[in-house]
Amino acid sequence: MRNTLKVLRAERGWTQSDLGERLGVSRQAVNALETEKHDPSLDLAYRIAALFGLPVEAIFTNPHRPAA
Amino acid sequence: MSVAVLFPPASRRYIFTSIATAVLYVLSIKAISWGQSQLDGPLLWAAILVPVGCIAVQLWATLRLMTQVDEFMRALLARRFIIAACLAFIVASAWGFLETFARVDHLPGYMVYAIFWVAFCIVSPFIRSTR
Repeated sequence: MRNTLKVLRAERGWTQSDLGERLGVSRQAVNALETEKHDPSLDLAYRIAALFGLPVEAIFTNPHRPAA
Repeated sequence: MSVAVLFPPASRRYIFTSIATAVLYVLSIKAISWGQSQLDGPLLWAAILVPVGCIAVQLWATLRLMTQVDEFMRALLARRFIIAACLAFIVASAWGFLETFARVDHLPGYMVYAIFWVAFCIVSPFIRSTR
């Protein structure tokens, strides 16, 4: 799933390990999210959104929403 | 990078359990092979429970690891586990048919467990995504 996780993380100067620690997941999980090798569960998506203080759809592109 | 990051407690427990059961598995088979002439009846059946128990504990440790890692690692392990199990079923079934109809050498049933882990090692580098 396309997302802006890498940009948001870089803006804060966090490494993948830093972000993983804040989210309670492994560095590999963060890498998989950034490289679109893993679609997050709803719970993890909400955790990410809460951490960055953004709505889920501001971070993850909704593939089911028709383009405007 | 520290050992704690590379090998979190759940992974360390899994590695320890896997090594311990593998060592006990090999030793118990050696012991049973060596004492086969002395062991008989219920005692032999009881002795065979040791390597079987090692397999059960190792599988339990693998399933427990899946519950203790994050969702990405869990999904990855589950996919690898399922595909390796499918391959082991296919290889064991194919060999069974070959034994019956093509008279190839007998493959002991317990080898399916080793085949499963060989298949797991083969498929793991190719399954790096949960999608």
